Amino acid sequence: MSVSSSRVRAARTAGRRTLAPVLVAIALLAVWEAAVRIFDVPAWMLPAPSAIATELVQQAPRLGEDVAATGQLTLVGFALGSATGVLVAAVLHLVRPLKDAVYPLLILSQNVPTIALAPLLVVWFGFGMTPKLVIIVLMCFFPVAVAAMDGLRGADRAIADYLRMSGSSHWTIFRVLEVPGSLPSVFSGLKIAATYAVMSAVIAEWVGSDKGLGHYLLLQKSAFRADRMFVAIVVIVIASLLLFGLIVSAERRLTRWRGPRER
Amino acid sequence: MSAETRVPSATADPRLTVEAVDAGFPTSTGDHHLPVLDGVSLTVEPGEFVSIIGPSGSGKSTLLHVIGGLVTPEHGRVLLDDEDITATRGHISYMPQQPALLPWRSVLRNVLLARELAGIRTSESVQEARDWLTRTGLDGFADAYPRTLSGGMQQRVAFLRALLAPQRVMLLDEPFSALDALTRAGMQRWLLRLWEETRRSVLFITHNIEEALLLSDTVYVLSERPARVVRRLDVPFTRPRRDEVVDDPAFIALRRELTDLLATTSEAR
Ligand SMILES: Nc1ncnc2c1ncn2[C@@H]1O[C@H](COP(=O)(O)OP(=O)(O)OP(=O)(O)O)[C@@H](O)[C@H]1O
Ligand SMILES: [Mg+2]
Repeated sequence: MSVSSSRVRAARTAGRRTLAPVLVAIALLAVWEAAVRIFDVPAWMLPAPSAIATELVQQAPRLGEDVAATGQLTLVGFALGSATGVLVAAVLHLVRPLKDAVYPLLILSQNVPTIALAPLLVVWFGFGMTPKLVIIVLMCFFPVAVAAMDGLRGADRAIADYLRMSGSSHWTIFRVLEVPGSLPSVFSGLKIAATYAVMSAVIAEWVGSDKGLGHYLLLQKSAFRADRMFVAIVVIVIASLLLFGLIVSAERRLTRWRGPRER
Repeated sequence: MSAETRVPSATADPRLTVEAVDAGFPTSTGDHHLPVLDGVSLTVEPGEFVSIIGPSGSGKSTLLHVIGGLVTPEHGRVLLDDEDITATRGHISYMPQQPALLPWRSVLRNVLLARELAGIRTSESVQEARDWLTRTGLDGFADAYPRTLSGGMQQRVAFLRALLAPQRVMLLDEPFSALDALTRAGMQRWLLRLWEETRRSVLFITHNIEEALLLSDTVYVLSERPARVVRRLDVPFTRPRRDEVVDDPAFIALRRELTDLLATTSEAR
């Protein structure tokens, strides 16, 4: 079997798999549109999809600055939070007593509603970039740290035994086996963090900001512009999907050895 | 040729001695102790091929783990010549019972792993590994990931990894168990030729009596768990061994004897 024919087949299954949900989404939008028209729902309450689309096109030029602000906040926060997560996981994994002391607390602390800390963070750090970044970093940190630690711990026993018998040090086993083996798990953590990142950036902007999509949402809310609030939501969803897609494509590239069935 | 670069005079190889080793594990409930090895002693002379046969679960893999320093024995010692290597690692070349290949490395890079762990990275190593892949029917798979190989092919990769390891004594844990009878016979013949060329010290675990007799200078038979050595057998056939040796009446008699011995040790439980 040639590579290209298998690729064509993979593309065809992927096409079939995306077709159904797209059809359902189109049907839902059609029902929404029809309902708004038939029942004459006022636009300040629920605008029709067509109205939202028109508004999106009109607002697009003036949204650039807000998108840039939120995008920057998201990316910096996501990068910082994920990097810290991976680093902390590695240190805890390598220093066993530290892990025994800290890991249970880490799991527990996932129950703290990070978003609820936002007002407090404003009190501590003021209205600059810092409190917003801290929220996103916290939101991204936990899923990545926990996933990375599970991945590092879940290394194949038989391979670890082989490496030990061959005289490998802890450090060699970490480098040769545990780090590459943890990648799939790290990526599932990163995917969760990516979906949190955009959302928490917007919420962070609610708490205190004079720009960004969160700020834009608040402005439009006080103006009763439901259509523009939907415009903001559409943009946020697109941004989330973009970040998610970025992670998935990096995952594909770095875990090619797993084969399509395991992914 | 590759083999010549790694054949020092036979006297350079160390003698492996296992002296009265007792080993066991805590049971899953934790308050008891599961004895696995009961005073096991054996010797692998420089350049000798020694097989161990024994019932499943008797402690054969555990014995290799003790020799490799993975499991610390409660009593007894492991020696390489006069050096006590009990509970220390990195002295032997090892092929585990499961292939234990790194799934993200190509076949070639898996074969080279043992050398890499020993700090040896040379272009000759790469060439040598490629030669061996060709000789074991794995050419064309050098750059493939292990998951795309059959179980038997993965075992051959694990075998080559052990073969290219710099340590002189090889511990092989059922290297041919995942092969069908035909391929197995082929691999046995191949290992026999290879070993007669290189004369490396080998400790070889198998369930297969004929395989043990065909390949070995000495066969040790272990009892059910806790494993004791119930028989040490010198295999009398000359080297190089011909394939027809299996039809020799003496060979058939020895095979019968070992089969009966294993049957009685298994009944005894
Ligand atoms: N790490 C371990 N912890 C606890 N018990 C173990 C451990 N390793 C092996 N055992 C036990 O020791 C006994 C011997 O196991 P071992 O793997 O050495 O047998 P074996 O002779 O290699 O069997 P097989 O021929 O099936 O591979 C078994 O009862 C097994 O449950
Ligand atoms: Mg075993």
